[in-house]
Amino acid sequence: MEGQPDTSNVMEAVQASRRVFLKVMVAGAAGFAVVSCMPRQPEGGGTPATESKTEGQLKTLRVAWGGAPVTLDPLSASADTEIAFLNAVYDYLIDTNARSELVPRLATSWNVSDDGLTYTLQIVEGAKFHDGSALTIQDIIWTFDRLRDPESESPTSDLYADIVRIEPGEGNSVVFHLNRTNPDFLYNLSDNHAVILKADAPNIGNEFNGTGPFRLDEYIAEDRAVFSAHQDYWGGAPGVDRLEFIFFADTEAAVNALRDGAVDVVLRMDNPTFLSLSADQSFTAIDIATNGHDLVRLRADREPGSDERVRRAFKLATDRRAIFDRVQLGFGALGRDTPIGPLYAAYYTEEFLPPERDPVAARELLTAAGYPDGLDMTFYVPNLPDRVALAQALAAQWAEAGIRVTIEPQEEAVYYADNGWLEVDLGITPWGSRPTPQFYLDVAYKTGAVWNEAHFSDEELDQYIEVAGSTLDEEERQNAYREIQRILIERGPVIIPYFFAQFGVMAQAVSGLEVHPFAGRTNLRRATL
Amino acid sequence: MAQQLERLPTPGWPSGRALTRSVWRFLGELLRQPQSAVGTLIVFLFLLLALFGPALAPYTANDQSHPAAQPPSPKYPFGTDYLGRDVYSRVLLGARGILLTAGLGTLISVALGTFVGLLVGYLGGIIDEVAGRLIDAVLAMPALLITLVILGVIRNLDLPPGSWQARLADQSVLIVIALVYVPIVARVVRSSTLDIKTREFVWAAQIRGEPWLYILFTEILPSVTPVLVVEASLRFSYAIFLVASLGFLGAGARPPSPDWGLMVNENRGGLYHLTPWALNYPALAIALLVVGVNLMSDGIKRLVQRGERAG
Repeated sequence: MEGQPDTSNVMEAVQASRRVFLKVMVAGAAGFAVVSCMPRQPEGGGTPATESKTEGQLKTLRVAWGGAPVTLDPLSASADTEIAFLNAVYDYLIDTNARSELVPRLATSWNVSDDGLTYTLQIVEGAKFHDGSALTIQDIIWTFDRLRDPESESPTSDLYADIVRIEPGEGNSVVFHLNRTNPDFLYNLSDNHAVILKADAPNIGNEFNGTGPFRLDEYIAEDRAVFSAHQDYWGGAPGVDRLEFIFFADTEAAVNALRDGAVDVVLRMDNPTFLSLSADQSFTAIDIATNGHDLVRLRADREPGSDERVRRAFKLATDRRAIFDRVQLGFGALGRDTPIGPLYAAYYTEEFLPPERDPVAARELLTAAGYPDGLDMTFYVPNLPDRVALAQALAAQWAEAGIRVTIEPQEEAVYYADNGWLEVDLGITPWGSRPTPQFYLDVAYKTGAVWNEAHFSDEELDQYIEVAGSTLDEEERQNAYREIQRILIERGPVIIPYFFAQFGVMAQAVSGLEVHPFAGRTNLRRATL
Repeated sequence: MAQQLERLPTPGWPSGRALTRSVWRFLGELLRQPQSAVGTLIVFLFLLLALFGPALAPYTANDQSHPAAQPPSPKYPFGTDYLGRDVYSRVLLGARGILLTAGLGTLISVALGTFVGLLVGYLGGIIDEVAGRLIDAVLAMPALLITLVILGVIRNLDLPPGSWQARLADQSVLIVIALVYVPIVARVVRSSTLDIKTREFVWAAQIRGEPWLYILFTEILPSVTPVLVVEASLRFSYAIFLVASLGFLGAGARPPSPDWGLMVNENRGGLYHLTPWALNYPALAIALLVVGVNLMSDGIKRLVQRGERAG
C-alpha cells in the first residue's frame, strides 16, 4: 500500500466522464421540466394494434401472468397461475361462474337427499383423459379420497372432513355421503383444489394427464407453459388451437407485454393500470365485482381493541366512501365492515349501516375509553401499492380523531412469516374472493378460528355462524347472515372499506372470454381469436 | 535546537476571522464561474426550502382534504395526487428530510472517515495494511447494496417499542448513510496523510514530543482540509442520490412521509398514466438537487486544485 499510484490521470478521466454525465443530467432535467408541466395523454394512439400470432394456421391465445407457479400438485396449489394451469389441463366436477353461481362441468346434474346428507352427481358420458383412457367413477372417488386424506396436510382435508363415504351410484353417477348437513357442500366440490385426476396417477404435479380442454405440450418453470387443444374434449374442442401462459416477474411487466402486443390477455392488475388500459381503444377491458377485500382489523382480545368504544371510534373515524373512490378509483364495491358483500345477493343486506364519519364523536369515545390524548399505534401493512395507499388514507382520516398510526409496510413474506400477521394489534390483510361467505366466517371470525386475526370472540356471532354453516332452511340461513352483518357492523373489530374488482384486459381480437372473480378459474376454453 | 524547530513554518489552523474571510473568498470565487454559480445557487435554494419549507407549504404532507388527481392549476401548482394530497406542499416539505439525512450522514461519515484515515495513514505499518485491505473489501461492494442489506437486517430486528435500540433503529437510514461512506473518505484522507506525514513540520512536532493526537489534528488535518472539502461535497451528492434511491426502493422513509424517492415510487406504474405530475415534480426535484450539488462540488474541486497548484 506504501507506493500509492499516481491517480491524477484517473481523476481527470473520472472528472471528464462526470462532466458528460452532468451535461446529460442538465439536458434531461430541462426536458423533464417541460414535459412534466403538461398532463400526459393516455398511450394507445401510437401503439400498434395487437395481432394474434399464428403459427401456420394455428391460433394461439397468449395469457400473461405476473408471477409463476410454485407447485402444481392440486393438493397444495393455490395461486392464480397454479389454478389456471390445473383448470386448463384438468376438469372440475362443478364450476362457478362470474356471479359465483354453480354451473355444471364434469357433473351434468346433481341431487340432494331430503335429509341433506347424500349428494348424487351425474357424470358426463364420454370424457377422456389426454392419454386416451376413459374417465371412470373410480377416478373421481380416488381423487376425493386423496384430497380428504388427513395425512395429506392439505387444507382440503378439513374442507372435506364431513364426507364419510364416496361410492359409485346408478348409471354414470357418483354419491357423496356426509356426516352432517352442509348447505355449501356443492361449492366445496367446486373448490380450487378439486380437479379430477386419473386414479393412481404417477408423479402428480410433474406429469399431467387430465380430461381438461388443453393438453400440456411444454412447461418451462418460471417462464412459460404451452398447451394444445384437447380435440376429443367431451364438451367440444376449445376455441383456439394453442394456449400459452407466459409468466412475468410482476404485473407491470405483464401489462407492458400486453401494451407491446407480445401477449393477448392479462387477468390481474392494479386499479390505476386498469383505468389507463380501459381508456385505450386497442383493448377490451372488463371488470367484474368480487368478494375479495382488504380487512383492516384491530385485535379485540387486549387493549386498546378489547374496549368496544375504541372499536366504535375506529369505525366512526373512517370514511369508507372516500377510500373507495380514491384507493379503488371506484372499481369493485363499497364495503360495510362485513365480509358478506353484494356478490352474495341472497345474503347481503343494507339494513344495517356503519356509522357516518364523525371524528369528534370518535374522539369523545376514545376519551370515555380512557384515551383522552388519543392513541399511538403501529399499523402493519403488506408492502403492496393498494394496501399502502389504503393505510395512508386511513392514517389521515384517523388522525383527525386522535388515532395516530405509524405505517410499517412489510414485504409479504415478512408480514405472514411466523404468523406475525395474527399477532399484531393493527393490520391490513387482503382476503381473496370465495364463492360463498361461510368460508370467511369459519376461518377468520369464529372464536378460536385458525385465522381469526382480530382474536374476536362473540358468543352471539358464533351461534349465527354455526347456524349459517349447517342449516338447510334457506330462510333461517338468510336470517343468520343478516344478524352476522349486524353484529360485525355494530361491534366487530374490523373495517372492510371495499370489495375489489377483478379485471381482464385483452386484445381486440380476443372474444368469448368470461372473467372470473378468481382469475385462475377464468374459462379459457370458450375464448376465440 | 528546540527554538529552531518551533520556527519551522507549519500550516496549522488559521484564526477564526481568517477562516471566515477565506470561506467568503472561496464562495465568491465559486460564484464567479458560471457552472459552479448555478450549482451553488440551486443548492442554496434547496437549503432555503429545507429551512422554510414548512412555512412556505400551503398544506401539510398527508392532508387529503383536496380533490384527488387534479392536474397542476393556480390553486395546486404541482397538482394533487390520487389521495388528494397537494404535490407542491409535499415537494416543499420533502426537501428537509433528504437534505438533513444526506447532509448529516455526510458530515458524520466525513468526521469518522477523517479520523480513521488520519490514524491509519499516520500510524502505517501493519495497522495500515489490515485497515487498507478492509477498506478495499468494503469498497468492492456497491454502496446501495450494502445499505439495503444493513437496513434489511435492522428493520427486521424484534426491538421493544420505545427502547433506545428502537429509537436508534428509527434513524437507521441516517446511520447507514453515515457508515457506508466512511471507508471511502478514510481512503482519501489516508493517502493525503501518507504524503503529509513526511513533511518537515510533522517531524518537528514529533521531535518536540507532541502527543500523536495533537499531531493528527493540529499539524496534519489542516493540510488535508482542501481534499476533505472536495470529498465531502462529492459524498453529499452521492448521499442525496442514495437517500432518494432508498426511498424509491421502499427501504428509506416510511409512507406517508413526503420523501421524494417514495413519491416517485408511489406514483409510477398505472398511476403515472393518471397523475404524471405526482411523479414528475419530485423526480425533477431530485434531479435538480443532484445536478446542483454536482456542479457545486465540481467548482469546489477546480478551486482547490487551482489553489494547490498556486501554493
